[in-house]
Amino acid sequence: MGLDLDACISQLLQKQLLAESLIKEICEKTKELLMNESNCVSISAPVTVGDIHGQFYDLIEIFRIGGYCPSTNYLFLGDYVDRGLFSVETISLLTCLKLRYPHRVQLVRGNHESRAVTQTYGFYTECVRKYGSTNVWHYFTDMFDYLTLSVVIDDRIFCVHGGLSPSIHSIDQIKILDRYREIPHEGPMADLVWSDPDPDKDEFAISPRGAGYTFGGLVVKKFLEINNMEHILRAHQLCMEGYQVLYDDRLSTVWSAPNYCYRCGNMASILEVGVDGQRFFNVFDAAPENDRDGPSQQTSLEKKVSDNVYITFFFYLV
Amino acid sequence: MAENQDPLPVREEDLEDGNELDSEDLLAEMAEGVPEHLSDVAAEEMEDEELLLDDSLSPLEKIFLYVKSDLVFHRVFIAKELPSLIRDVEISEAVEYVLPLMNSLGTDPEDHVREAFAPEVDKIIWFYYSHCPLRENTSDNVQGDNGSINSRPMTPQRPQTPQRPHTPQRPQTPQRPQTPIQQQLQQLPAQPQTPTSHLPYLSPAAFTPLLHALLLDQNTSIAAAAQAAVQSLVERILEEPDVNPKEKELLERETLEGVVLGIGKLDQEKAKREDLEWDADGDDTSVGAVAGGEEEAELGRMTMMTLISSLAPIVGPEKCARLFVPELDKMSDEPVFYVRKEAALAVGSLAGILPLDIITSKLLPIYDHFSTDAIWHVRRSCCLVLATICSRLPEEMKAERAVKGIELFAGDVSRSVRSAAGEIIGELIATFHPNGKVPESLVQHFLSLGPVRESTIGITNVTGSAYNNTGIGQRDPERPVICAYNFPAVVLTLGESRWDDLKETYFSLTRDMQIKVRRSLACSLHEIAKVIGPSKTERDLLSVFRSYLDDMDEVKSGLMEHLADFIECLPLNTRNDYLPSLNDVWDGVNHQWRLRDEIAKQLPALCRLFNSQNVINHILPLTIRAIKDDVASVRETAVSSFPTLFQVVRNDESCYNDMIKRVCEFASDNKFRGRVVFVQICNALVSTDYPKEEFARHFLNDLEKLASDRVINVRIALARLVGELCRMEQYYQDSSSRPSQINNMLRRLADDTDVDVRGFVFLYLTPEERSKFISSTIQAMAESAENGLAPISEENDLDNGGSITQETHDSTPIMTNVNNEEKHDTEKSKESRDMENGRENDDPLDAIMGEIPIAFIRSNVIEVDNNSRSSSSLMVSSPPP
Repeated sequence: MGLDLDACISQLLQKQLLAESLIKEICEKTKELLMNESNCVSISAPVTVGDIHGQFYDLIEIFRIGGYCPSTNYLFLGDYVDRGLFSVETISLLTCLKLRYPHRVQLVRGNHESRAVTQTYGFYTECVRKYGSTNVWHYFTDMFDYLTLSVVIDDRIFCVHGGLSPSIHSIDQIKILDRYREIPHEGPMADLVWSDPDPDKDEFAISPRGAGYTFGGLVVKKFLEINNMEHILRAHQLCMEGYQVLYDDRLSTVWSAPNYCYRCGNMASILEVGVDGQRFFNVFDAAPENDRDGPSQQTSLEKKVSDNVYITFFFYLV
Repeated sequence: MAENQDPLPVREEDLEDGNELDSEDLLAEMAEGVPEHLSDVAAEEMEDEELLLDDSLSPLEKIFLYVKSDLVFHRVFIAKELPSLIRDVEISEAVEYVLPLMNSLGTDPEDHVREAFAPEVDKIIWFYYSHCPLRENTSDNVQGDNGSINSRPMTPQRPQTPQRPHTPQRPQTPQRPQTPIQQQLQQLPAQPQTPTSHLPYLSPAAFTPLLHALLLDQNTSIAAAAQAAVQSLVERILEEPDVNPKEKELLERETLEGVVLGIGKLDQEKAKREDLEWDADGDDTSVGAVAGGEEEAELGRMTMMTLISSLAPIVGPEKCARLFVPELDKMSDEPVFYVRKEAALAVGSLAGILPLDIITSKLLPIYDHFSTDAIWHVRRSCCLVLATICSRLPEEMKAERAVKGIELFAGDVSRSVRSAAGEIIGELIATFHPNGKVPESLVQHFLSLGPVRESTIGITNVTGSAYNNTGIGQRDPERPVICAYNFPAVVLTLGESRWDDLKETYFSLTRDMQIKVRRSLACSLHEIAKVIGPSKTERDLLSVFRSYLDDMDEVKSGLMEHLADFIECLPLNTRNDYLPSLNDVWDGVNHQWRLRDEIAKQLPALCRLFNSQNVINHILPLTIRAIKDDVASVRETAVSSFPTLFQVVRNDESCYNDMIKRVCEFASDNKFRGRVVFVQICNALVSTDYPKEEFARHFLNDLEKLASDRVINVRIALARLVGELCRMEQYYQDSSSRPSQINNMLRRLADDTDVDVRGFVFLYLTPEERSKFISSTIQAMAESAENGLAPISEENDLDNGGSITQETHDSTPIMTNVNNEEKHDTEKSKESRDMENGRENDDPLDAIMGEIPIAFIRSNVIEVDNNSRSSSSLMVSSPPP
């Protein structure tokens, strides 16, 4: 019997982990799928999602708001894992959706889709805790090496996790990068996943993150002109309102992890791109399930009994 | 949007796992953007954890190594996974090796391990019960017997975590030098030599010591989990159909008498056990030998009482009377108050199921005895079970006991007991429903919980203040909550005629400052309305309803959940007056999609309350507003209300036509989402057996136009609908009588550029169409493989996509060449495998059909033989510039 992806997806939607052997098979097949994708994939009219960071319930909230696959096309801009409590569930679900609907779901690589970063920021530990060994972490991080680096929506909007690179002027240069590897410390591939816009500057500058660059309005303008694009869409930075638009509407940041790390109190958004390039930020707040199954429930076995609304026993009498 | 109005982005990267950071510190810290270190893996730390790479271990080895591991998370992991892992262990080995390990998990020094283990323990025990024959008193051969729970202490020399020299990169091949842990493995009791030809016997008492240890755990959450485990074991033993009667009896006896009653006799057990010679390995930390054995016996009796309370409804009256009642009998001279406290609760639980004669002869005397106990905890327990006991008594006796009981407890010297009397008064009154006459003193006691009656209503109205219950100083804030919570049950029991006596208290409560009081009342407003009838609802409750519509979201949502129920309670004329304001209700929840979703859920029920014209004029516009909502869930909920809307207006021809016209307008909506909604509404109608003829007449032409819609998602929705229509017998399953529109759609959708569209309709093509279609698809796949493109790509769906496609091809020559080869290999290997399987000869269709949906939908990627790809082929292009 082959792989039953629909069963895997419904299991994951219930937030139940898949068996280790299944994860292995799914990652292998996803690698084969991703290998055939260009470094810059063309898609149409997606709902675009920014960083999720293992906030599984907020990912489900995104589907409630944006619609489920395959009715809605999705573009995920990376940073699926680390920080949140449910990185394994999150990346398992996204991977299954990608495999099930390869043309409806597009996954871009973020700076957290990397061996080095996930060892420090939670995904590694979570894999070991939930599966008892590092195998699952190896399967996923090996698969991350195949994720594409960028997307173009309907010939208008260039999408990437972090931002631009001083060594990349045209999208064609992205297409010839060797991306099938761990994210390097420097160079164009690192810049694409690490860089940030700086609204106070015109040009490139050293980034305080220690990787990638900051880039200013002139850089963006030039890049859009050279590549005949209208807009740059990226994620990678927390926005308290869920999104941010810069440089005369030439660049947007979309952020999709509400109440980031369960304590920042920020809003999140998804960007719905219409067939004719219209952009609508659908802003949302943290899913209510986070209160029932969040950080405060992590150490204790006790489950909070949900609020009793009003007396119910008399219904049994009637 | 202007730049400077935008919120500053904050760097997300440097959020430490600090403890009590407030968000401002956090944001400041994040904004500094300390570089994240991209250093190599902290390799040494990984080594420990990587020891147990699973592939090479058998389930038994895995269980053994994990249980014996020094790392807590290993033991936590195995505690959780044991129920599924043990299924792969041979039963004789499970008895011989795993069973003693369970004791080690159950007494692990780390709370986390026991916390993880306790909720799983019933599943593991059930595995043994259902796989292993039982035999009583096989004391010598079976592990875990005779209280050997602690006779096998954690092995002092746990596997040492060895320091392997770490290799900078993870080797591709799993070939490694043997690690110390693998050497350790050989010290496992050698399995091949274990004779497995005979099934071992299991003593029914094998798990009793383990369960007792968990039930007595100092950590209350573990003890509670163990109680739940015992409960679920008893349920399974009594209810599982496949247990043979003899074993069932053995298990039932051991669990109820050995585990449940046994834990109440630890002092006797201990004395008995000391006489026996058991393999203690010189270990003296066993359960019975722990210092403070007295205290443990007390804890055991308390646990027994708690278990009796929870098991009474499960085991039924016969066993309760035979096994449990005698235990309660002994409780009247129980010296320890916390045992009596649980015993009093057990009285209530047993009263819930035992016949009246036992209640009066056995239980009431103990109850009365406990009711005047010197310790308030015990009296409070009595108070809490008063309603349960009364509910089982005949009317007169009930009234007498209820009045006497409330007098006693409400006048108790202890505040806790008095407040418990307040908690149960509503429930107690409800025991008189439906026919009994409620004693007046109970009603008065209930009303005394509410805010002080207002003699000065005018004044509070002028100030608009809700402080009217502060008149007598400090009051218990829980009292109004309890009162509000119980109000519907009391109103229901006392009936409409007493409403006027209750309503002042009710009104005061509706203005309580606490949100949870108002929310509780909002949730139950419709229940009150049902009891007091339309005219009083209009007179007294409509104003409450209106004020709650402007209240906090929590309060509003209570109303929304029963919106239709409440409106149904209004007189007909008022009902219609209220219709136009439904739009305002929607506006009022514009910021909260869950509340809009709540209203959308009410639409079907709402439209049943009004005539066709009102549905068209008021409910339909609201529904249309909902299907245009920004949130997909709200749209879906609204879409699913259409079948009811159609049904309600069906007999009014002009309204019906209006409805169809409004729906069909969406077929040509200029937003693609509107067109998707049109298809989804059709889908909803079809799933509720909408008449086929009308469906064809009203919708097929509009649907047909969408088969060539420029947006894929519209075509996907359509293909799904057409697939459904062709699958369902009452529509177009019969391919010979399909209308032309259906056939046209099928053909066009099957020929779609997108695989997701084709996947839904492929099955419903005629065989000839299918084979024609398959050969053209294979050809297309081969061509696209030659071109180095993904076979069916999104670009084809766009008029202007060609140029991008070309670009992709041209600019990635190296990569595509390699991919090309890969794909050819794939195709070849798949074909050759098909031929080997002989499928080629049967029907070319089967070769592909067998792999639907997955392989067909993603023809190029799934059936790749993983072994055929070497890692070297991954490096496909030149190094970056």
